[in-house]
Amino acid sequence: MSAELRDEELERSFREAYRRPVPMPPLDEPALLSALAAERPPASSAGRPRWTGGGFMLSVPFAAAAALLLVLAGVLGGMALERRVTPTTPDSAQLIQFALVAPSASHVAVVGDFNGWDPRATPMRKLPSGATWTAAISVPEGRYAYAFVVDGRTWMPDPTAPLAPGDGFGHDSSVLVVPPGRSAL
Amino acid sequence: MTDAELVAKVLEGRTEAFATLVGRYHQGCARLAYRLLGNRQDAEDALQESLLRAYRGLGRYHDREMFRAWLYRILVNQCRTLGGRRSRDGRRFVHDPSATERPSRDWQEASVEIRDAFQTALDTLDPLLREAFLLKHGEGLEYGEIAAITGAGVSALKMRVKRACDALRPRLEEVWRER
Repeated sequence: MSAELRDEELERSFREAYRRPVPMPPLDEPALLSALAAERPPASSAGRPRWTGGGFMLSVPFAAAAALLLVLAGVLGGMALERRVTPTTPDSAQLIQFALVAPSASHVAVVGDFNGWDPRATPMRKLPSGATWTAAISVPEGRYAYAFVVDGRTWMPDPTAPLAPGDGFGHDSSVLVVPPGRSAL
Repeated sequence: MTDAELVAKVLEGRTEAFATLVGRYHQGCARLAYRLLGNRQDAEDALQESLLRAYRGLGRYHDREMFRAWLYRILVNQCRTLGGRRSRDGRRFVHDPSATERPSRDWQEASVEIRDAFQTALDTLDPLLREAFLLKHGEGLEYGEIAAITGAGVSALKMRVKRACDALRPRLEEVWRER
């Protein structure tokens, strides 16, 4: 049997398994309507002024604290990480330099919210020293989660940057805060 | 009647229209919650809370979106929250008892064996990988829809599905070889 046929068979088996009935009760409409009776009726938000930004907006205190942490990480962990921010335009994207010490790696990439977590998008370059990998990309103002992909299979957070807030699933990624204007990490 | 028309009726105060609306997607939501969380109790909790949240937030729903995707997004977020809480509590997933039939050499039963392996392998997947894999290969959604549901980019989702497939394949091939 060819690998292709086998894959098809596995996919078919999975679809069949997924479609098997699950031991969940059907919708209990009277119970639902009873629960909704205790709720305030929903109202359309059309025409209401927007007062909040997107889900990635940071509060000022948190942004300041995160930026301060990153500055400290950059200073104290300078041997392992060098990440510089250079304004490219006054108010938007800034050039972010990522670095990772991985002497035994044969390929390293940085992935994050800024490049769709695509390991092909931002490969890193090995410095002549042979131990440090770097990449510089332009990133707009905002807060991003990111990680490194070593040899295409090992995902790891930046060892010298703050971990991203836990998503509850044990995923390790780091936080990058690109502040507005000309300030640096 | 379209989903958008039902939403409009709910917003006019016709609460019963909400039951009609979510009744269209209840079975799929129940299946997804169960597959994501691995046990009935948590899945029922997540689904019930999701329906209430959908009702409360219906005013923010815009009919340019697919209602199903909007509802799935609420459900997936609820499952993430509940799954994370369970993970922190150290609670183990309870597997579907019906997925533990005795293995056999017979083709039909071998197929059952593979389904068992899928179930077991699914439960060992990283939750985000499992979520992307189930939405893609279980619910059969397009990556664009999954992106709208999960908030992740299409490239990231493709990577998650690929990693899920890579993790599942050796486990299933092992079962396949033993047939």
